[in-house]
Amino acid sequence: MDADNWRRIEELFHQALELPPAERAAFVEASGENDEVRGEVAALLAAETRADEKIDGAIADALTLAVDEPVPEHIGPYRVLEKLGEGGLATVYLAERSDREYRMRVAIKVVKRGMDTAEILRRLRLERQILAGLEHPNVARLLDGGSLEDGRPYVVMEAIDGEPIDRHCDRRRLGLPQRLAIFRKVCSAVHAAHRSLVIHRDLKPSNILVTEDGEPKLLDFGIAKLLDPTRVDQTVARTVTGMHWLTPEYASPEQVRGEPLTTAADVYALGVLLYELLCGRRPFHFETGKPQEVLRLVCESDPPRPSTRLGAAAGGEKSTEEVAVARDETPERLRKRLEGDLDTIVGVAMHREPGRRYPSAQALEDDLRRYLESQPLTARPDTAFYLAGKFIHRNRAAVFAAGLVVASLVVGIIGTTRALLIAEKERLRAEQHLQELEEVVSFNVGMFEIADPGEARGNTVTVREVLDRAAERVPAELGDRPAVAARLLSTLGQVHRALGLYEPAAGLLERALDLRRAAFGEDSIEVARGIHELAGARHDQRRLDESAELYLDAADRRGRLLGEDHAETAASLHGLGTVHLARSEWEMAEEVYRRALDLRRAALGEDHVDTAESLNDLAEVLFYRERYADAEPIFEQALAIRREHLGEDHPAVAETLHNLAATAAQLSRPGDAEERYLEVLALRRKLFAGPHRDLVKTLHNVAVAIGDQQRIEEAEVYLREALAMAEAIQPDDPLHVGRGLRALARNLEGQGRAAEGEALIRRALDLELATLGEVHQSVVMTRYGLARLLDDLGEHGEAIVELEAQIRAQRQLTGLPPERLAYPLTLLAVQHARLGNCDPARGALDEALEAHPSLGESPSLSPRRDEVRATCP
Amino acid sequence: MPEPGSDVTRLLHAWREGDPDALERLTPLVYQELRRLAHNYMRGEREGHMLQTTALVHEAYLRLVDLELGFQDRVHFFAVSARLMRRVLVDLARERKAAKRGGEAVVLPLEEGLVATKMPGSDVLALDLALEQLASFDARKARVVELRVFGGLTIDETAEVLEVSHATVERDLKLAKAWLARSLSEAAD
Repeated sequence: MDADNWRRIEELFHQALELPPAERAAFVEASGENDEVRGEVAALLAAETRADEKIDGAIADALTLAVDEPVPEHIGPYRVLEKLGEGGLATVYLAERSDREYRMRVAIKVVKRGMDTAEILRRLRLERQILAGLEHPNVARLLDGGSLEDGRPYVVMEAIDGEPIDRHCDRRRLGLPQRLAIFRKVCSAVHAAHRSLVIHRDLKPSNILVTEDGEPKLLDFGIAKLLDPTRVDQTVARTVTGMHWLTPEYASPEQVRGEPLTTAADVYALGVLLYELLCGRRPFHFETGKPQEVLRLVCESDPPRPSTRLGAAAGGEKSTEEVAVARDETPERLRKRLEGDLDTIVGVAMHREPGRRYPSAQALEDDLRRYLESQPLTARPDTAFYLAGKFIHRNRAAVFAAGLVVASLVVGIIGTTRALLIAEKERLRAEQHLQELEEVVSFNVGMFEIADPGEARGNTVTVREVLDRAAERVPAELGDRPAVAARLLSTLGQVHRALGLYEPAAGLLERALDLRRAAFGEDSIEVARGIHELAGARHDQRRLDESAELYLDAADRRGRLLGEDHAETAASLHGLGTVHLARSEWEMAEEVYRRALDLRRAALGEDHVDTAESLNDLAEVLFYRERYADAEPIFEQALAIRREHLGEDHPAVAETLHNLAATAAQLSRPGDAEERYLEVLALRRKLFAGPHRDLVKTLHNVAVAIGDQQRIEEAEVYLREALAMAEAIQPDDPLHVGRGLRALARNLEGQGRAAEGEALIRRALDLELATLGEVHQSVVMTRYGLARLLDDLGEHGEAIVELEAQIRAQRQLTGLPPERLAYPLTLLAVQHARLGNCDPARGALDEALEAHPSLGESPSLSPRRDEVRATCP
Repeated sequence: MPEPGSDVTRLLHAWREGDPDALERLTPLVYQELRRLAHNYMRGEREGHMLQTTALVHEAYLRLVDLELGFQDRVHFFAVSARLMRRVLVDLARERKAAKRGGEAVVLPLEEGLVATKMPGSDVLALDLALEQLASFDARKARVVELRVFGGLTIDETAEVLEVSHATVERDLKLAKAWLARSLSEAAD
């Protein structure tokens, strides 16, 4: 637009607007302006009348998009069938997946557009890991998860065909015993969740569907919580300002008050649910549903007994007669049945004080069982308080001891440190003090890890929540002391790593590094340390390229600041070695490890845990390079040092024991291997409260040792546990999940279930190719496994395709002994031979012999050679 | 969940004091809130005939800013929000377009001869483009529209932000809206 013209257009436009509409056109025409100006003004005047409408319309139209999301055709590999429902934060679709093997219907929950804030996404990822480990017949299973193209995550769950528990019971006129039987299953599902560190927080009939055959299934386990973080700290004040208020009928007093929740909140909600199933009414009738009313009723009054509430129908509720009929009773008989024990049980479950409720969902279920078996309850009206107290005391003692110690220490550190830091000159002392305290915390977290995971497990939620809260508090309370805050965040990050919570750990360590930069300056040892720690976290997350770069950076900085031969420099080098190892770069790994080992020997001496680490990891590389006889004595050396310095019950001892077991297996001593593995398994089950990669490794190898002794069906059990756990830790981890799938496929192949095996191994291959690329040991091994299965299934052509791809990649893979090529090559020769193509069969066999001249001595390879020679002389 | 209120207030102050980072950190907070509100708002009952964007920005203000701010900070908040509101709507429209990949074509403004079915949100994309074009030769008028239409600023508040008179804003608005409406018509024809 010409600036001069525009100015003149503007002037004429406004002049014309002053006139009545009818006179404008003539006025513009007579203005004596040039054609462009006149034409433009005429058009603008015409548009002016509808301008507001058009612009506001465009905006209103766009705003509808905020809500009205189109039903997608596909979500990941699933085909969407219909929209099942919609909540404030997520939409649920019914979808199906058809593979070659099976067809399955699933429910997929997708975070809505605009709800995908970092906080919600972070929680979803973390919770998905936890939920994946939650397997219970009465919990809708979490099957899968992923992200849409725009990054919004989704979770895939078992699709349940059923109706809400209250409707199910009423429609079938189930009597109290049948209702209690279903309800007990709900309790056991909730208890299982609590043991997996998940609090539901939104138990209500619409979240508990009962199938046609009477099995209750809990939905949305924890999803509600993670999809709606507002509820975690919901306060009445917030609800007043217009936040949506979620089913206050089932909310415990602490939930209504917006306090942090524990498993006791779920026990309360179970109490409400039981109340409703028994007497057909909810404990409180809210006239207005306003927060003030909810607060007053739930937090300040006790609910009436179910037997009393039964006869007191509030407006809009069913008549007592209707309620009784739905329970196959008369009103009077129903009231009598509720009086006494059932009133008491509900009362304890719904106690206003969390500490006086049943200590677990299990305890509630147990008392219902006693009621049904006419045994005396643990909770009696007169002694309820006393007994509930005893329960808590007995069941929670162990965990409270561990949990609260950590809590008070973390909080205590902040307080103590602040106090000490008041005087600047005492800074140094404070720092020392801090270090001691950090050690104490680490120590106690270690204690927590090995605490009895039995009865009291549900309450370990507390510890995680405490850690989260501590992580939030550190910057707030120590904002003026970035140095100290950085150290504490580091410690918390390490604690999370130790607990296998890799995502939050990395976040904490990132924040710690930022603080270190601010506090100590870019060119400081502290920053180098922070980088080193973050490198470890990235490694845990399998972000290996970043990890390698960070380790290199840390090693470089430490070399400059502390000296090339300093123990810390060696540690960063060692870290770099771990990345090479994870990437199957054996030669590089060995070289870097040897370098780090030499440095550590010189700086720390032979008899030091860090030296032991180097020995152990170096031997691991040798192991991977199939130099088992070389590896074994080095592992023995590492084990001796670790036992001496760390004691028997230490994860590092378990690690080396594990490696020795694996070595024994490779040296064809499967009996030894099994014995040692089972030892390691027992130790590690004690060490880790939940899913953990090391536990996956052990399970996997126990299975191999057992399989090596031809007890193949026994091995399958361990393999399935290993796979489920690997998926629970990180569903798309190519290394661990891929290996788990491969191993299980191999096992099924051995059992003659090749078709099942093929489906699994194709899943593994997809997963690995997506993240690792073609030239990677895992991919090569997977292709080989697939080819064997295809061979079993008579799909020789397809097997050839896989084998050729494998051989191409394997030739590029450095560090594998060349005779390993004989495995795919002989199998390839067999495929060609079976298809009657003798030239390529002979060619492949010749290549195999070139790679592995003595393959005739191999029990697995010589039959192949013989077959090819027999078919193609 | 940390209360966002104090953060936004602090960042607004910092931004006005000349801290350039503050705006960068303010932006995602406000964007997110606007988007969330747009969602909730459209689900609920809408009352009266206040321009919807105005209502949203005001709601965001009430939720994000915890103290009663001075007039200047308040106006600055709305000025930031105006641009972000525009972005929220454009993003929504673009995402819809992406979701319908391969579906209906989107009409670009001022490009003749393209005839296609209109899809929801296409108008706002056209409006966004037209605004950009307007800004290329008369930045102030484009900004006036943005503040008024997307940010819900009053004429006086707009005048305050742009440091011009009340009358100028009114005149700018009239012409700019007419110009944009014409662009939209051209786009739709």
